[in-house]
Amino acid sequence: MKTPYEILDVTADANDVQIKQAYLRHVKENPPDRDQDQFQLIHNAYTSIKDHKSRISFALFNVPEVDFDELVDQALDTVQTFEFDAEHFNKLLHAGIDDTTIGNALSSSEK
Amino acid sequence: MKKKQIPVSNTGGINLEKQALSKLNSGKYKEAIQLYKKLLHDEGKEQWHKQLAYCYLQRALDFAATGKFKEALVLWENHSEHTQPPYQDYDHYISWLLQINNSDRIQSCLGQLSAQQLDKQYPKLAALLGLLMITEQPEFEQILPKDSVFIAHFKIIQSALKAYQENNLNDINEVLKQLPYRSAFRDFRTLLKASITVQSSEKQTKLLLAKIPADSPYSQTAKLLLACTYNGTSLLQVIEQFKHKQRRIIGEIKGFDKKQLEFLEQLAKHTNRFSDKIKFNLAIKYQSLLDNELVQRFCHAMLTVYPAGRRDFNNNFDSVNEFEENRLKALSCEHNNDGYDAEYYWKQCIKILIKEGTDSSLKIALILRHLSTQVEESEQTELLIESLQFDPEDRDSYLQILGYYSQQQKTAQDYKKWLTKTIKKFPQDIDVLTLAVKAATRNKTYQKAIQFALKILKIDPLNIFAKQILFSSHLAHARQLLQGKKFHLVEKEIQQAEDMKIGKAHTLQTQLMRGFLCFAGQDKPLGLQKIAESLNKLNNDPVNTYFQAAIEALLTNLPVATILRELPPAKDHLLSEQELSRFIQLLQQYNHEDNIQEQLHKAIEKIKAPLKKSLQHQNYDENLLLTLSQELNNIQHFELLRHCSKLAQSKWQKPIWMYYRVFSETNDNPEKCSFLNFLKLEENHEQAKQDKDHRAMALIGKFLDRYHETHSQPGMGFLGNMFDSDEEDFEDPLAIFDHLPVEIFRKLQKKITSLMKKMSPEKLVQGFNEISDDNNILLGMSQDPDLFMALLIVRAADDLGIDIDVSVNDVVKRFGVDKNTSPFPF
Repeated sequence: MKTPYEILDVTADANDVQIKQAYLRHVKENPPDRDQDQFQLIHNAYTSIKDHKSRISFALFNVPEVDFDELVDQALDTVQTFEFDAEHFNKLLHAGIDDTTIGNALSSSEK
Repeated sequence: MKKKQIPVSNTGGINLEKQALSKLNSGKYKEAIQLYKKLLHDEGKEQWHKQLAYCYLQRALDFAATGKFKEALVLWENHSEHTQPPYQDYDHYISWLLQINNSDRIQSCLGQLSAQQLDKQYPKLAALLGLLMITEQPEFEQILPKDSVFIAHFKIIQSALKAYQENNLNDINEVLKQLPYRSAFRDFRTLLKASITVQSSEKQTKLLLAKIPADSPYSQTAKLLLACTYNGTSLLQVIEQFKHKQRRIIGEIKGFDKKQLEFLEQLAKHTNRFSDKIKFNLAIKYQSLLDNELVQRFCHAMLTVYPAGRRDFNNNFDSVNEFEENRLKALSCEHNNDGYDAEYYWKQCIKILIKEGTDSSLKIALILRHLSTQVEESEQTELLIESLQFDPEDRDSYLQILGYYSQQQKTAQDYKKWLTKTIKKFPQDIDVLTLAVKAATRNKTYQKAIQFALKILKIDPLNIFAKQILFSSHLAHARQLLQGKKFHLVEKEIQQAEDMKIGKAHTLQTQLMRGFLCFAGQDKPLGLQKIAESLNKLNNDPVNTYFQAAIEALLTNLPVATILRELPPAKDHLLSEQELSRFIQLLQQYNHEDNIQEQLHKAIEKIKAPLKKSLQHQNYDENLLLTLSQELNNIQHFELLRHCSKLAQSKWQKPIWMYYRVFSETNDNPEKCSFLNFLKLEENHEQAKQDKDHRAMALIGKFLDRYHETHSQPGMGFLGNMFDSDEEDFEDPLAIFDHLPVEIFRKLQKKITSLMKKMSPEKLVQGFNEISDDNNILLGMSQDPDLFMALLIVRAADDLGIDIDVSVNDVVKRFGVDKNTSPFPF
């Protein structure tokens, strides 16, 4: 779940003017008649950080969202591009044979 | 162990054969085998051999299905002793040998397989053997029949694999084209094609893999290959179905390092059931795999749901300061709906911020306002007032404070004080000025109301509310002046109202006022004429004309009867829907000015008869009656409201009408609400919830709260209010239920209500075996409705199986109906 700062694409120390500009830019790109949900998300984000008081309030009472999926995605991300060759195929063929392979192979045969 | 013997009758071989056949047909193969063996002991009939062989085979298949392959093999071999080749399910027998890896027997059996069997009869065994030859058992090629199509296809596969190893992708396709559709290697071909496309087209790979059936020996490899195409959470969703070795290979193919492989194992271990603690600990343990900012943000956020992780957090990241620690604890408590502790931690936060100095004032104010949303209304105001010490410019807090103080008469002084403060603070704020106008109107300080309304109009010249208030304030002031006989000033006020020119109806209103001025000051007959003319123009019916004339006369302290005499009679007029709407509009218009309830009641008195008659005879729309009821509620005219709600309830059985009925019957005094009505209201409250009738829900809920406040004695004591008694020494017979806790009574409530609906007193009495003299009890009930209620409670408890420690006899004794109480001598 993105923070309002991330939604509006502004830094945590952005001022009122910068936040308003970012909001207007996002609204222009996502007008309510195109995607109501996205517009609402942007609008809510703006409302929660639009001025000094709302930013302090957000910092005090916002229960931060935890996104474990984001964590898993990043932890299992790899730099190298995915490569698959005959050796990998061979490994998978071998790994694919387990206790169930033989048992299942004929299990649905008609008696 | 001695085998259990099947009881066999002694009537000879025919019976025994029948028994054996019966066991075979009913699937009891073990018993059938014993019987056939016994039969074959005496006579070697071909048929019995066949049937015994069949039983052995079925037993073998049953054992194999439960994974007992050794037992299955023995039974299959027993089967083969009683039948001739080709043996049935020979492919299964071979597969069981493969399962227990009995290489000698495997070699021997495979050697006995014919090309016909391999290519035509056992396609599934062929597919399995194909996979084993490609992977672990290439030596099978030498044993299997050389002239089989299977072996020819295997050679093609080998060529394809060689081309793959040499990365000669074009050749692979050419080679694979040689395989016919029905080849034992067709799933292998699909798998190989999928693996070739996996890098270039994930979509194509998935489409190809979907073609491999679930019972194919290649299906597990297909799943593994598919898993290789997934990343992050998608991979997590499927990883638990694989074994450690398989997960490791997937990880290696995906290029995971050691730490990532370890993380993947940990994820698989928890099989997608991650508690907050596990998530937190995984993030801490594997932070090297993560962006520092992300993991810190994640762990920080987790502290609100897993506060025990604080020490680990401090050890791994910038430690949480005292304020942050308390803030997180407060949020954590709020997360767990623990408002009490949350308040404690927020107050700790405030203490820390106060020590920090003035820079933290806004934070303190915001925390106090946050706390105000979590507490009861009375405490809310105190917190909001306190918050203004730290952030004195917060307009919303001022408005909220005013909102609270405006609700009760006892806080009128506080309201006045805070309104003055707020106006001083926000002199140009329309909302604040609007509140000021309303307060001035309420206090009948019309000059003030006019000033505030003019201020609003200066800021917002089109403000309709201000215009209307200004107009009615001029007229109200004119009435005040008229009462004080300051006639020269009255005209001025009327003129000012007229100059506003806000509509025809308003102009007619000013003309009506001129009529009253003329009547009071100069020329009574002319005044009367002008009044009658204006009223006739303002209203289309005699009832509303009468009502408006009466209320205006009352407000200006002029003789009502004299004026009404000049108007056409209203007694027999039935109001149309439109005319009733006009009446409601007049009620709203005059009720706008507070403290004129007495005059409104007096004016209504003049038209009560035609109003009641109209309600009785006209078929009004439900919404119109609801609006009327709302207005009657506002002016607290219980008599008319009673009349209206009773009629409406007979047409529409809705919770709102039950509310208005009880509300008007009790004159808005919950203390007077009977127990029966209380039950009905509770039931209707539930109904309103189901109907999503929020208005009825709120009104009934509020009334029930007040009912509980006024009936707060423990146990069943509140039954005493069912029928009021002024006698101080009155002993409530229903007090026999006083010992029951409220919880028990709540359980009984629904049952009592349902019994009340369907049970007459006669039926109720007949239901009790203990009652011998029905007539006496019924007479007692007619004299004292509490007796009916008491018996209902006993019956309800009886039906629900709740022991309330009060019997029918106790009730009968308590109410004194155990003896003949009849006032009649018969």
